Amino acid sequence: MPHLQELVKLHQDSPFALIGVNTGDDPETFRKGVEKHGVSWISAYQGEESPIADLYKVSGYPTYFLIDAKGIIVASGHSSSAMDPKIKQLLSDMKKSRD
Amino acid sequence: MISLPLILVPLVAGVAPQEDQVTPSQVLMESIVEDAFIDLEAEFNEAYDGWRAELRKAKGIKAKRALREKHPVRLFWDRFQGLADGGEGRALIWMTRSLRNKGLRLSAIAPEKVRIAKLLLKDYSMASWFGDGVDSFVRDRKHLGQEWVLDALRRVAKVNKDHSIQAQCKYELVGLLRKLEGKQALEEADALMAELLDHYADTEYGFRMRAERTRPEDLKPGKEAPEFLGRTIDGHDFKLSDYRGKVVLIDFYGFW
Repeated sequence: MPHLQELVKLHQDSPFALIGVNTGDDPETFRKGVEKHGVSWISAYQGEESPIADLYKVSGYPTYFLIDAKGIIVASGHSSSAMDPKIKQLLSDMKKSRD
Repeated sequence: MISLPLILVPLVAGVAPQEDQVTPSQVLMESIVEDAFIDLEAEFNEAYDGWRAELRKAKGIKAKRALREKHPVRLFWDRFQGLADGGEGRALIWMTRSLRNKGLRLSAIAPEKVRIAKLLLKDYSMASWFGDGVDSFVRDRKHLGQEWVLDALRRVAKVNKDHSIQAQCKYELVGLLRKLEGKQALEEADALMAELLDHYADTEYGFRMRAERTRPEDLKPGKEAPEFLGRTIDGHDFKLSDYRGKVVLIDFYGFW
């Protein structure tokens, strides 16, 4: 989680969004977790059910999907730090094409 | 403050039930009717298992034939019929499944299935147990006719108040319509699928639809990320597509 907070802070002025999809927490655990870990970004709450995780065939946690500005999947995996260079690359590509 | 005397409701039938209030006698009567079907079904299943075991042990064609004459469906038929006559729709479903073992000629089975299905649809399509009725329509679609089954499912989806039964009807409709040819059928199937994904994601059939639609290769780099509707714990709805134009990292996680 600390890494995700850094990530959000690092890209706060860029067209970047982190979307959490929570599965398996009861409301109390979820609310406590959000507070404790400083989850400031949007997070879908699914409770006991997991339609979104099922849709993405998520089999282990955490799982990350990186999606570009056109909505195309760029990468997926279980490590958020492995996504760092890819996010930077996507954002700099976007900047270049705008300039 | 006026104190009201405590009124004890006698635990006997015949007390007029007040609106929005279930009296003990009502509860009692409902559970008796319900138990009658479940008990009979359990009794039948036990008898059926015993009969199957005997059939396996029986030696010789004569012995087996004699046993087949005593199929438990024949012994139980009148009791299920009695429940059905008394307004127990689930007994009709048992009956329509048991026609063959009752010894009905093949040519007589289809008309009887049609008769029972029409009765089920007419009298019980709003029942909370009608998921079983939907299953029986889909199972018997060759006897009932594709068009009749499609119309029946559309109707149950409309009149039944149960969210998951509605989803079940729509899910089955998608499967049946996709096997048909023609633009209209496919358009209806697509519209129902969208409904299942949007409004019935919380049901078993919404799950199934989603899981079926997505293949592992649809989630590889280069593919469009499947659209989804998310709801925050405070009830704020959002869509993945709201974030078009941004680089998005989706994090599937739990605090557990």
